[in-house]
Amino acid sequence: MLGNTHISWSTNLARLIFVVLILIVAIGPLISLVIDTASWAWRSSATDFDNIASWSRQFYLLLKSAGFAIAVTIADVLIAVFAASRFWTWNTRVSWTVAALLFSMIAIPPYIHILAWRFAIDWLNAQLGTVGLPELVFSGWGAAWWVQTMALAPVSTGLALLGLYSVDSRLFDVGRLVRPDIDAFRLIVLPLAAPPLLAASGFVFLFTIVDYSVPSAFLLNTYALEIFAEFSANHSTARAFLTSSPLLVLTLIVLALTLKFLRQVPVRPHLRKRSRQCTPFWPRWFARLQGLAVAILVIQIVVPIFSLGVLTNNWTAIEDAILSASDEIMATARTAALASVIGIPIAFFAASRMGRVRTYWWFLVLLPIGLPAPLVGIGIISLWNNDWTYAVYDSELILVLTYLARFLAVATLVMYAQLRRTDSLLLDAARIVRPSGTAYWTQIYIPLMMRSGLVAMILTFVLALGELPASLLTLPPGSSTITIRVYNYMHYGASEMVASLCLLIPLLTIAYSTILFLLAYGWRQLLPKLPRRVE
Amino acid sequence: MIRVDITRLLRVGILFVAAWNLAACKENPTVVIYTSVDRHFAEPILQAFEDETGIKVEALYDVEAAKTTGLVNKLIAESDRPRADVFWNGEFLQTQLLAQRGLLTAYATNGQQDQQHLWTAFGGRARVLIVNTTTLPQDQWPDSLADFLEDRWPGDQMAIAHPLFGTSATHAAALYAAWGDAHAANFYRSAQARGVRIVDGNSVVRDLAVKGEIMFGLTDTDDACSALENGEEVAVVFPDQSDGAIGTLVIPNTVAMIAGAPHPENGKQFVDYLLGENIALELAEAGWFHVNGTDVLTASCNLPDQVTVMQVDTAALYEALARIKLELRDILVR
Repeated sequence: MLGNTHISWSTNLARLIFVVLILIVAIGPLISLVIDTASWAWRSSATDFDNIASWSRQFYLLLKSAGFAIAVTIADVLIAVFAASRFWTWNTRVSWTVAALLFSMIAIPPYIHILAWRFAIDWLNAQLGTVGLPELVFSGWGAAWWVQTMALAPVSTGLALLGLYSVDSRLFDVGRLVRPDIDAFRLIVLPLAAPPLLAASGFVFLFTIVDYSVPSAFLLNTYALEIFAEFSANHSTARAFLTSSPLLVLTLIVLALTLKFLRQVPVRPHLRKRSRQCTPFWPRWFARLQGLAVAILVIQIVVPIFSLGVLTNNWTAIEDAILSASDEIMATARTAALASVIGIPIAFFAASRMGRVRTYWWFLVLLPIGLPAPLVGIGIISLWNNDWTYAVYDSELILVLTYLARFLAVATLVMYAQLRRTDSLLLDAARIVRPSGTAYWTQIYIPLMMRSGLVAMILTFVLALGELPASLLTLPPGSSTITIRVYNYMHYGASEMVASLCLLIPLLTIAYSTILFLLAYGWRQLLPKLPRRVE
Repeated sequence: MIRVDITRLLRVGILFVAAWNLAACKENPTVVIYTSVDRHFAEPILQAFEDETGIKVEALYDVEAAKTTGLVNKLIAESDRPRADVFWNGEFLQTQLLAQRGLLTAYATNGQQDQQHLWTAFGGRARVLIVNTTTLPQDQWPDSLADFLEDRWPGDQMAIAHPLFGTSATHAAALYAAWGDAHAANFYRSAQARGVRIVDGNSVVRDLAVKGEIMFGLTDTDDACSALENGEEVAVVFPDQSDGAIGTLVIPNTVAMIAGAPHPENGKQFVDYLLGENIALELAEAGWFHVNGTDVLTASCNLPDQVTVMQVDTAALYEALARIKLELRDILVR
């Protein structure tokens, strides 16, 4: 009895700590912005609100931005489904290598994709010119759509792969006995793999709609640019926050839809490894679309690497880049890794509460995805730049908090998608044998969540590597990040240095992923082995 | 068992925070500089100051992609507890904005100052036309901003940086003052209507001209001259230099002390250092400054020795800037 009371107290304390962490890390900047805005509104006169809303123009802009984001989302989800279904039939190690490569490309900032694709199209046009063919036109809506789709394709495909590998292959095999493979895939596998796919489509939509860099580079105005124009004109966080409110409403709608579908997904665990004895037989049209999607992904990887490789020109440039930016490389790797490590238990806790508590909780946890990044930065400054927490604000830890504020929601959604697929019967069975608290976590819960945990960690790491607008505001003086360094160089046309540093970003991701997978492998080796079945 | 884990967790957490706090303890003497000047140009100056004085410089640099939502907003957000000592800005309107908001403190220098001695202007970059010499022979080069509306050149063969941000916004405000609101608004409206490319930044204008994707564009001397110095097929032209023309806008650097700065004496020492004559020359040689008053400082950009400068009233420009930006937003962001 005493023991039970004791456990309950400590469990509650643990919960309280996590709730406070979530409030401070993820929701804190948002709360700070809301307080600042309310305070500004209270002090302001009617004229201070002038020009915040220009309804018809802003509504049209918002529709245009939403249309662009939907087009990118559809393209990325289609690529993800077709490509991942092809990888799914390959050897597991090969497909995980592909997934790791894809994830490593996420950290390449959007500007670099623009640079790479423009370089590649220029090169292609030069080749076409030599044989007398007309040049490709790469501008406007189409070019912006293509580059944005390519920049985010790794996110959707990586998560789609995670979804497919979560499906128990026996269910697919059973379906194949009575229906063609394509029907079994469509009716059984896809619905079961839906949670990460839905999460992916939500991410792609939200990342697209809050980003102005790619559309703006191709002369396409979006609502995100409107917010920056407002912020630049008045330097008022409150006015910028109010201007961004339609985007937040849209974010809420997308999140509500995503989570509604996530909750409707049938929950089935995967218990066995996929059998590989019998490769699925796909109809020709499906196989062709799979091939096309894989080809697009190969292009997605090859074009930036080719362009950056050509721009880098020689090894000396890479050596120079590493030497001159060694502090930034180390600081970025350190803080991004720390954010991913700290973020996982918090994300897991937030995700585990989503299924139990009221709707407002997961709205609050996930809403920061829709906040413009500079406003997140301003919110963090308001929260941490005071006498009590100045030591944290004046250190690299503020970068870790920035990354968490921006990307904890992403990790949470990935963890939630996996939790929806975790068999509660397994956990109940584990509780019956009453292992110690540590054993319950280390031997049962963590191994069950390992795969999505690794994905969430890598995703947080790569997104942190490429973060610019919020970290630019919160960065402590005297330090910098690899992405900020890239943009510093880019302004004065040092393309060799820019390309060299950008090539380092996927390498950092691959190194970090390798370390994580080795640690995960080591963890599994340490677990007690089940006795072999005696026939 | 769980209790032990949580206690351990708390201990580790406390140790971790303590370690970060220890790491955060900075050695004196230190000066914290926020600068929107390109890192490439500012870093050697800061390093030389550190070497010469022994004062450790902790710098933060802005990036063009932040579209002026960077350091100025950071300074405003940090105003309750300032972290920076000095703001070294590549232009003057954002500095004036900080002055208007009471975020700067007076420091009298020998340079060209505002009335309250809140900031000092020095050196300058001029707004120039960058022309691709391969696609446009010299007799067809533009020589005025009005040429952006001339039918002689196709609209999509010209570019300007977005006038909502950076020095392009300062230039837009100056044009509103020089031409009048209606004329200036019509200029931007007509430019957009005829398809003039309104791109992300001045360096993008430069890159488009270098690649021959446009015949000419409007940018700053540091961007344009860097292309010329790299041997690209471009020329640099001061616009509106004929008799009676308005001249071109010259945008000086500004340096200011932050009110409530943590290291004010070190900050003043840096301001004095930056305003020394040698530094202006160094910055000119490095390619950051090209103009000082009406004198053109460098010969490498093939510019005339003198430039006709657009006359501007800084305070009036500042007063109008927010209104102009919002008007331009309504015209251009659609």
